[in-house]
This record gives sequence, structure tokens and C-alpha cells, in this order.
Amino acid sequence: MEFYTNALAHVLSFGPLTAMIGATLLGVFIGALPGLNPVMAIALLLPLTYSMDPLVALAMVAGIYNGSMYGGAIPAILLRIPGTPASIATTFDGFPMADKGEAAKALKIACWSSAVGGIASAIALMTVGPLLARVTLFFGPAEYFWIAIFGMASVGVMVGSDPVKGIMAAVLGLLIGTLGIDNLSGQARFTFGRTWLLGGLDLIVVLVGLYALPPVLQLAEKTDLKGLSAAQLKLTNVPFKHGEVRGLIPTWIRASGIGIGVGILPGAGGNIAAFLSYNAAKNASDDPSSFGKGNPQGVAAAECGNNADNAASMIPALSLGIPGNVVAALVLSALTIHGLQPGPQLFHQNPVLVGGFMMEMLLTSVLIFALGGAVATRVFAQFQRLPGVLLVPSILILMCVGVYVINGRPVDLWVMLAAGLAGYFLEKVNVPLAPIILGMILGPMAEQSVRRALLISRGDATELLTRPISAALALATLLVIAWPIAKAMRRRRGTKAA
Amino acid sequence: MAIGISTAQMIIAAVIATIYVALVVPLGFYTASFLLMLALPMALGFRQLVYALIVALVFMVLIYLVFSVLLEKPLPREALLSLFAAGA
Repeated sequence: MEFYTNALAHVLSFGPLTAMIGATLLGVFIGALPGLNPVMAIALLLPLTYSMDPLVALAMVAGIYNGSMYGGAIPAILLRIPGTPASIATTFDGFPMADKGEAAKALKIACWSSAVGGIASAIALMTVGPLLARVTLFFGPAEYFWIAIFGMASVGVMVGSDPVKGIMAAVLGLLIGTLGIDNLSGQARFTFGRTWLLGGLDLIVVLVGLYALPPVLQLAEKTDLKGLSAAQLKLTNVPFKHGEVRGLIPTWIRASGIGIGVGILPGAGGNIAAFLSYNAAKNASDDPSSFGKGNPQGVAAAECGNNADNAASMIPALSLGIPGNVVAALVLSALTIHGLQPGPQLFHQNPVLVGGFMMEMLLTSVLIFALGGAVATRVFAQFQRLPGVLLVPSILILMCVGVYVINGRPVDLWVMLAAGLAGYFLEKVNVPLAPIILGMILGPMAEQSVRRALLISRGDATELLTRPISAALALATLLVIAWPIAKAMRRRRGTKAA
Repeated sequence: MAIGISTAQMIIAAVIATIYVALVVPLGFYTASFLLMLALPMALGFRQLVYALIVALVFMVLIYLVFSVLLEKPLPREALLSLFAAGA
């Protein structure tokens, strides 16, 4: 408990507090604008936080992450355009509610549900995280190797529509991760005699390209020249009726549980959490046919589910050093930028930072109650009137500033552009981008661990499999990869028989 | 071969983005960015020049306040400024 009270004192100082409020507002704004997504926003922001206090930097990440999950609900409800992929399920009942003239009520339910989901998730992170970190005290290099491989395999298999393409993406990330000087031997790899490649490719540079350029090009494709008219954005505040909130509580509990579970698993994201929560609410309802026609429970389930995914996805990242999604990967790189290594030692050596980040995830969720009210939402909805074509150059400029300030090297701008164009085409052919980033992060970790493990065992590779935890992790990896293959084979056999 | 409007728009945006990256260092960050804020919407079919100009100005001032004043990050130098300096 002291762990958190200490951290709380640091979080409640001027810097982190203003960062949280500002970033949560910014997050709602980013979520509300279709085409902008939280990953892109955090990636653009991270280079600016290099010189800041880590707690302030993490406060911004927490605020944007939580705020944008709610922000996505605003266009989902008003216009049936999900602001982020995680708010697709919100459109199912949110837009019919708006159609019936209940837009303000739907937004209020979305706001409360987001806050409740985020709070539940943060509490899960604060309780499970430190416990799981203790498990890693038994980990040696062999275990770290397998856990990195397991992370890559499960994200590769689960994140996209096609497991083969996901694994391909992870391997591409691995390859990019090997560029530059090898830490153990000092040998330069794949640098083609270029000095700028000696340090490898900067993760943030590649990430900004991969995650910000494809949405920009998609915005250009849409050529939105007008923005929205004011008539579409009329809202009046409505208070909750007596007992209305109590009716949502069972849905909130169910959706929070589902969201937290999905968050802990690597690979699955907020959109899956929202869909599962929505379906669970529908199945549990006395009147399933009212879903999809403006049932407030549907909005509550989807919004609570996607926010409950957030903090929980940080559990494996902070305790094991294995990011389950790209935002968690960004948090890890933010930590490494400040010279901190995730894992159990982080909890011992930097309790204020870890505890503080967890508190920030909690507080930014609470902030949604205050900042997501009808007035703020009305202001954010106005931004939808900005024509999309004006957003395109603005984001490009932000990308360039962000990338340039990291190292001050013009060549990084070209790396970003190339990564972005590659990302655009990869997405076109349904190759997921998240495994590339995870491959870049986990690849070097896997490599260093396996080589250290082999040094300890004097080159005996069986050592990687004979310890109980490493054997279990290897088996889990095998299952994760074999499961979709088995499923595909069964499907093929099924079509042959028919 | 017929290219859809959206594909054409994407190619325009990608080409202009490439030109911007190529020019941002020789021209200077603020000059190149300001030109981009005007040129890209126009190339994509936006015709309200005054609107684009206002958004560009507001955005550039914001960027200047955040990056040059608040964070004091060094950005590519303005070629125009050194031109004036050389003339004086």
C-alpha cells in the first residue's frame, strides 16, 4: 500500500497533473477525429518527452490512451463513424440512439462506461502487476528468450485476419531489429557500409512512419473537403433517470471483466474487447432483439469493454517486459529511453515510477467523468467540422517534427517516409503492422537472452528446454502457433467433405 | 488503365509528402511546412484558399510556440532568414 501512497504524492504534483488533464483532453480530441488514432498520437508525442521527467511523459501516454478510447465514441454515436477501431461496436446501438434523438444520453452513457471500465482495469493492473513481476524472479535468460518468442508468436497469430501474414510481419520486425552493431561481438550487420545504419533503425522513427502515414494517405483518399454541418452536431444535456445507472451496473461488471481478460492476453486489442462485451451483454439480456436498435446497454458494454482493455494490457508489459499491443510497446520504449528496464527490478528500483504510472492510468480514467461531460463533448464534436484535407498536411508536419527532434538527422525523415509507404501497402494486403513493431522490440531481447543462455550452458542448446518454466513457455508458443494451423486444416477438410 | 479517384488522391498525397521531406532541410522547417499546408489541400481539390491560409497560420504559430518556444527543439534552419541576413 505504501508503494502506491508514495507514488500518489509524486503524481499529484504540478507537472504530472497538468500533463494528465491536457493529455486526456487531447486524447478525447484524437479519438473523436476519425483518421487519427491513439498509437499515432503517442508515437508523435514520445520524441518530445525525451527531455521530460518520466512521470510526466507517462502521464501523457496514460491520458491519451484512456481519453482516445472514450473520444472514439463521439463520432460513433453521432455519425456512425467509429473514431477508433475500438469504437466499432459502439456504433451498433449508439447511432440508433442518436437517431431517436437520444444522442446526448448515449454520449453520457459512453462517458460513464468508459470511466468505469478504465478504473476497473487500472485496479486490476495495480493488483496483478506487482504479483506477476515476482514470478519473473525465477526467470533466467532461457525463460526470457522463450517469453519474447511467445510474445511475438501470439501477437503475430492473433492480431490480424491471417496468422501466416501476422508471423511474416513479426519476422520482418525481427529482421529490422538485427540492423546495426551487434552488442555482443561488435560486428556491424546489414549496414551496407552506411554509417547512419550502425545504430540500427530507431524504433520511434519506424513507428511514426508505420502508424501515422497510412492513416494520412487514407484521409487523402477520402478527400473530405467540407467537414460536417452544425445541424448534425446538436446536443442537449439530459440527466440520468432514477435507477438508470443501477441498471447498467451488471453490464459494467461483465464488460470490465472481459476487457481486463482480453487486455492481459497479448495480441487482442480494444476492438475485440468491445465486441466480446457487446455480445455478452446481448446474450445476457432478457430482450436480445432490442440490441442494435438503440439499447443503452449495448453502448455501455462496448465502451466499458474497450476502456477496460487499456490498463490491463500494461500488466504483461510492466511485469514481464512483454508488450501485448503497440501502446504497451510504446510505454516500454518510453521507459527504455529513460534508461529503465522493465521487469521485477523495475518494481524494486523505481517504485515511484511504476506505481506512479499505474496511478496515472487510474486518475486519467476518473478524469473522463469530468472532462467527457456534455459541454466538452459538444466542443469536441465541433472539430468534426474541420475538412479532412486540412488534417493531412498538419499530421505530416507533426510527423516530421517528431522524427527530426529525436536525433536531428535528416536521414530519419526518409526512413520514416519509407516505413510509412511500406506500411500503407502492407495494410492494403492485410498484413498487420503491430507484429513488426513487436519484432523490432522483442527480437533484440530474444537474441541477447538466447546468447546469454548458451554462454551459461557452454553452447548446449538443450538447456533452453530442460528448465520447467522454459519448457512450459516453449510448449505454450508451440500451441499458439499450432492452433490456427489445426483450425485451418479442419476447415479445409470440412469443405472437401462437403 | 483507369485509376480510381481515391488512388489518384493517395498518389498525389504520397508524392507531395516525398517532395516535402526532400525540401524540409534545404528550405527550412517553417517555410516548407507552410507551403505544404497550402499546397497539399489545393492539390487534393480544396478551393477555399483563405480558409487554408488561416488554418496554416494558426497551426504554424502553435507549432512554433510548442517546439521552438516551449521545448526549444532545434528544427531545420530557414533558408529565407539566412538570405535576408546575407543581404543586410
